Amino acid sequence: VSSAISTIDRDLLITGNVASKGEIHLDGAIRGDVECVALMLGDNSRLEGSVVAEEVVIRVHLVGSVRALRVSLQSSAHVEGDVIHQSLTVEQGAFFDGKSTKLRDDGSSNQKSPPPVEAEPKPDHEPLATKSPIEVRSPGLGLDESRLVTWRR
Amino acid sequence: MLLNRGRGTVIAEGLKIVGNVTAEGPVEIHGDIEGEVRGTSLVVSRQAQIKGPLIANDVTVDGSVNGEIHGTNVVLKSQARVVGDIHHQSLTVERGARFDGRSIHEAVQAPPSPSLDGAAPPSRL
Repeated sequence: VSSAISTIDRDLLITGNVASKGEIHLDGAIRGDVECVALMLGDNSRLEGSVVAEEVVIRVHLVGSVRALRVSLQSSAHVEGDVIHQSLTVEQGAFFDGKSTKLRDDGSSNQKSPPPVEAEPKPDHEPLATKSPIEVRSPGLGLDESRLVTWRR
Repeated sequence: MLLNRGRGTVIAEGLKIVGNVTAEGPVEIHGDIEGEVRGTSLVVSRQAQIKGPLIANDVTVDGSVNGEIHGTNVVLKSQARVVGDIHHQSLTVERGARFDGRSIHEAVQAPPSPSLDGAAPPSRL
C-alpha cells in the first residue's frame, strides 16, 4: 500500500476523523482524531482531537492527547493534553500542560506490573522503528485502555 | 499528479477522512472521504473515492464520486465514475467516464439555489 505524504494546507479545515497509512503534514486545521504513521504539525496547524501515530512532531498548537512511539515538542509547540510515548523530546520554550506517560518497551504503561528482568530501562534514542508498526484498523479512536493492545509485542 | 502546484492540499492514497472538508485553496484527493468537500478547485484523482457532495468552482473527477457535484466548471475524465446529480455551468465528459445521474445546467444569472449556499458564486462572465 502506498505510504505517500498527505499535505493539508493552511486554508483547509477537516471536521471529522482522519486515518492514514502514511505520513500527514498538517498546516491547516483538523477538528477530530488522527490515526497515521507520522504526523508533522506545521507552523499554522491546529488540531483539536487525539493522535495515534508512530511519530509526532509538534511545532504549534495541539489540544488533545497524543499516543505515539516518538513525540517531539519543538520550541514553538503548545500542547494541552496528555502525551503517551516511548520517547519524548521537549525543546526549551515548548508549552506542555498535561500528563506525560512513558510506555515500556513492551508497550504497557508505567502503572502496570513490574517489567520482566530483561526489560532494562533503555536510552530514549534506541531505534524503535524495528518494533512492529502500529496497526491502523478501526476508525474509532478512543484512548481507553483497550487501545493499548495495538502497542503490545 | 493532475494539479500539483507546490501549494495546496494533497490527500494521499491510504488516507481516509470521515467528516467534512472545507478549503479555500486547491485540493487534490487520492484517498477516501466520507463527507462533504467544499473548496475552490477540487481534483478527484483516479484512486480516490468520495461519498458525499462536492462543492467547488472547478471540479475535475477521474475517480469515484457517490454524491452530488455542484460546480461552475465540471470535468469528468476518462476514469471517472460518478453516481449523483451534477449542477454546473459547464460540464465536460470525456470518453470512458461513467455518469449515473442528472446533469443540471444552472443559469449564469440565476440566484444560487438554496442547496448551493453561495458556494459557487455567479462569478466569471
